[in-house]
Order: sequence, then structure tokens, then C-alpha cells
Amino acid sequence: MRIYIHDGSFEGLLTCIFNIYESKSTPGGIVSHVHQQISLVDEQIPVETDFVKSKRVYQAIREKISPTALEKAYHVYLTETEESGMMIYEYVKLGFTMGRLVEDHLSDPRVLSVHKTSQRVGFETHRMLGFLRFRLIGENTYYAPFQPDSNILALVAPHFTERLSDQNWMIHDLRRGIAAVWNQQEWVLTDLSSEVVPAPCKTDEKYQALWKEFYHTIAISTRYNPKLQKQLMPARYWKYITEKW
Amino acid sequence: MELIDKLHILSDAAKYDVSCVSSGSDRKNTPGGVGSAASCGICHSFSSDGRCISLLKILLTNYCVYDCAYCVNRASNDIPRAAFTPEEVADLTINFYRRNYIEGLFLSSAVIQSPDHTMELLTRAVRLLRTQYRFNGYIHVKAIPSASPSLIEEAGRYVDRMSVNIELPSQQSLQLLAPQKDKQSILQPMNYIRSRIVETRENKKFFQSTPNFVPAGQSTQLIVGATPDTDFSILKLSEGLYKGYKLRRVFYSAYIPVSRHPQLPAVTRPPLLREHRLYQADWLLRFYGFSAGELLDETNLQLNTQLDPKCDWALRHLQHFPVEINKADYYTLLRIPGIGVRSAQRILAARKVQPLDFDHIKKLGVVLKRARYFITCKGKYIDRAADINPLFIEQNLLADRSQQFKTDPGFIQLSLLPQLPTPQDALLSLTGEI
Repeated sequence: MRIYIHDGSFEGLLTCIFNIYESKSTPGGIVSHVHQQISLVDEQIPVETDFVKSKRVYQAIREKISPTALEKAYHVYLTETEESGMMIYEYVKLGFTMGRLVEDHLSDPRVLSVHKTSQRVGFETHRMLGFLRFRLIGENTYYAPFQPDSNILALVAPHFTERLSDQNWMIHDLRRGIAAVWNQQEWVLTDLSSEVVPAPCKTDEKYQALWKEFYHTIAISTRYNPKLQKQLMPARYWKYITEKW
Repeated sequence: MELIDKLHILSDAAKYDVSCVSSGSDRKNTPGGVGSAASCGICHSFSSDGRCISLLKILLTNYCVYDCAYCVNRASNDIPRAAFTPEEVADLTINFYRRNYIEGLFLSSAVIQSPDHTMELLTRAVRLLRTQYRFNGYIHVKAIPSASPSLIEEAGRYVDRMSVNIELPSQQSLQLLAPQKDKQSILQPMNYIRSRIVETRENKKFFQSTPNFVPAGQSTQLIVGATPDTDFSILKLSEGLYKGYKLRRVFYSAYIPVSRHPQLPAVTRPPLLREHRLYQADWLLRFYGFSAGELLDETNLQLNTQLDPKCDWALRHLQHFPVEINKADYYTLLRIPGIGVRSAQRILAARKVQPLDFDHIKKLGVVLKRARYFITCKGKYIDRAADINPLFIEQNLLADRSQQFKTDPGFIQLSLLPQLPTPQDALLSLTGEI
């Protein structure tokens, strides 16, 4: 079995797909170097990311299949799971044979799994737009830590560039050691391996206290339903949700 | 009084308002401003009762001149009172918003001095937020019954949603529990807002610069279980509000005993299951093409608590079933128990490329536990067709449920109606319907 190994970028993954098509081979797996495993039977093929090749695959998916198919494939990539590479490959391969119709083949497991995964990533992104909590750490500078299941930082950040455009902010994915930084002009994605969460300043503590007061008061005790609460706001996110500290 | 104490009193007084929706408006941020609205709405937190927190839900004040028996803020109730200044409201909203705690503000108020005075205070607070603080997030404000149209007009230009709470679903109930209100004073602002929304929409077709007026529409709230109104009259009322008044949402609030009053029922726990069934029926009205008259009628006044309204309807109308999954149109698919908007759309897409069987539709997300009795795939039932009769289906559906709704000792909402309502009662509540 041939296992293609890329550098963990979406371009790297697309380069693998290009090479597979070019060599007319059948892959046994497409994984990022993080998931690389030593195996005696498998043939491991490291692939160097090639932006020309990846761009050709990128455009082919968009034009020969559809822009939504490309978006769904990207969402699957963001889950960073071991299977995601093969899921995308199978989906794209099917897509190249039938074009945009692939999106209707919902009863096909290759299509359904991609759609479901993409839906999950989209749902987490939407949730995070609400669950993210900023804290004031300096003069008009806000900081928000989070640990999402998928690598959705780049999907979350643009929402806040419009909404909180007149403040400097940073959204920090502590699990992956990356951050999105906005300086009121443009936002950039940068590495930030520090695991130290900056302490909020004095004014921030005042509003945190007010918010917690509101949060606890607004619940109706006769309707107490913690099971429903956890279902809608999973406990794994609570670590960085101010009112849940 | 400290700000935190005010916040405690005035959010405690506001918590019985159900609406916490932040959808329907796509207000954009302005240069130098803060905030935007997402048309899908965003939930920011969930409180320990499992309800979503999306807006900062507060009263401007809980000083009230009215004495409505069901309400926690009634004048005769001995509770701490407080009032926010418009600046305090704006400051809280902006600072919570900047930390992404909330999606916007839901500002309501008890009636202080007079309806006009109260409406003016509310308008002043939202004007301050929009003009001086340049806030572009979501704002939902209450329209005070009997307030003058010019004040409602001004507030409407600043906010995204307005609502007038009907609270009690019939005129008799109003007379009994809120003698200072009447249906005219409630319907009049509702009617005004509706006509202005329609007018704005028409004008927008010709003049892009037409100022917004309540872009996310209006909503209202009904209390369930405080009065003997039946589910049928409540659903009829909701249907009328959706059709006649173009409301976006009608919210149902299970009555929570906030006061003892000879006219109020003794309820130990809020009728949450009844509220849940009403919401299910409400969805059927809005998205599934059902009418209130189909779900309930004069002989069948209450929703079945054991089965959801769609299952209940399907069992009473087995002549429409089975439905062939590969042929039925969208609205017929929607009427099958266990198939919702999403699975119906998936079926439409998937069957374009391939005839579907039970394995396929299970993967698409159809709840076969309920749907299996009502559908055929390629002309075949999942089981033997001979088994399909109402009694059999009901027993099976209830067997699945029994785990979920084990006899709940707290669920004694029926104590409200010592005996089932007679047809005369039904007629009375019909004629008294708002």
C-alpha cells in the first residue's frame, strides 16, 4: 500500500492528489506527517508541497465539480483527522467523474461522510462565534482563548473583523498554538506557542462580575435543566467561557 | 444603588420573557461603529435551565402602575424596585458586546407613570445606543401597549425587532387577571408596527435610502397554563397572528407561579410538556404547511401529550398514508412523522440520481422509528403491510416514548382543568378569542 505523506497544509494534501492522478496509482492513505506511522508493509511516499500542482487541483475541484464541493473538502481537511485525506480524495475522485451532481449522491457513503463532516465543522464554527469570550488585557486590546475540535480559527476570525473592527484583538487557539491577530486594519494568522493566558485588567474584572451576575440571575430555577444546557453548550468548551469558570 | 444590584433586580424581573432570538436582521457595521447582526442569529450562552442567552435581557425599570395577577412586577407585589438610566443600559450593552458575551440588547420595561412616559424612556435608551455609542448590534425592544404611535415610530427606526406581549390568550382571561389591559390596547400597536413594516418594504423597492423599520419583524408571547384557554384556541390565535399580523414568532411561556392569587391555578411545576407540544405545533404551522384546524378541532381541544402533534395528526389521517418516498412532493414528505425540513430536502436531492430504499433514507437522517409506519420505498413497506393499523402504530410509538416520559409525578397540569372542557366552554373561549 502506498501512503502519501504531506506537510499538513491543504496545499500539501492537494499536491498528493495531483501526484496520485499523475502516477495513476491507488493510494492506501493520504496523511499529514503528524499521523505518519512506521510500517513494514506500507510504502511511504513523502510529498513536497508544490503550489503550481496544488493550484491546479484547487481550480479543477472548483470548476469541474463546484465551489461548494471545494468548501466541503476544505472543511474536512480542517478536522485534521487521519482519515480526512482519503475522505477528500474519494470524494473528489467521484466528483471528477460526475461533476456537480456529486452533491446529490447523498446515499453514497463517500459523499455522505464528507457532507456530515463538513456540517460538523460548520456547526462548530457557528457555535464558536457565540462561545468565544474576549477579555480586555490592555489599552483597547482584547484577547480570546479557545480550544476548538477542528482547526476553525480562519473561519471564525473574519466574523469579528467586521463586528469588533474598532478594537485590537487576538483569538488564540491554544490546542494548535496559532493565533489570529487584528490591528483594526487587517488580520493575520500567526504561530503563538505560548500557553500562558494573559490576565484580564481591572476594568475587565468588573464586567466579568456583572456578566456572571446576569448569567446566574437569568436562569429560571423552576425550569432547571442541566442536561439540556450541556447538550447545547458542551462542557468541553466551558474552560474558556467566562461565566462558567 | 450599585450597578450590580440593579442588574440583579432588573434581569431577575425580565427573565420570564421567553424571546431571545437574534435572527432576521443583517445590519452591517458602520465605520467607527461597533457591532453587526447575523441574520441567522447566534446563541452566546445557555443558562442552567437550558435556555439560550443571546441578548442582554433586562427591564429599564420594574416600577409598575399595573396590577396584573400573573406578573411578578405587579404594583401590589412587595419586591425590590430599581431603574436603569439610559447611559447605564448603553454602557452595559457595549461592554458586554465587546467581550462577545451577547449578540445585542433586549430592552423591556414595566409601565412607569404612563405608557407614553415608559415608551419615551425606552426610545431614549435605544437612540443613545445607536447614535452616540454607534452600536450596530441587535436590539429588541418592547412596544408598550397604549403608547402613542409617534413614539413607537421613532423606536422602530432604531431597533431590529419589536414585540408586544399578548400574554393571556383570550379577552376573558385578560379581564380576569389583567383588568387594566384590554385586547384593543395590545392589538393597536401591533397593527401599527405591521403596517409600517409593510410600508417600508414597499418603499424599499423604489428608494434604496428608505430608513429601516423593525427589519427583523415583530413577535409576541402567550402564557400557557395560567388560564383555562385550550391548545386549540391558542393555536388558532397564533395562526391568526402569523397570517393577519405577519408576526415572525409567537412564543409560548409555561406559566410559572410567581404569585398567589385566587384567580390563578395552583401549579406546582410549570406545564413544560404542554409548552413543548405547542412549540412543535407552532413549527408545523410555520414550516410544514399545516393549519390549526387540521391539528385540533372543536372535539379535540388539547394536543396529545403522549405523541408529538404530527404523529397524532398522522394517526388520525391514515387515509393519506403510506407515502411513496420516491414520488411524493415536498409538502407531502413534510407531513410524514419522522421527516423534517432537512431530511425532506435531502430526499429530494438524493432521489434525483437514484431511487431510494430504506437503507438510503436512514442514512439521510430520517427517523425511521416513526416514519417506518407511514412510508413505502419502491412500493414496499419496511415490515408486513398487514401490521399497519392505527392501534398497532400507536402502541409501538408509545412504547418508544415510555422511556422518555415515564409517569412524571410533577406533571399535574391537568389539575387546572378539573374536568374536560364541555363544547360550551369551547364556544365561549372561541368567541372571546382575541
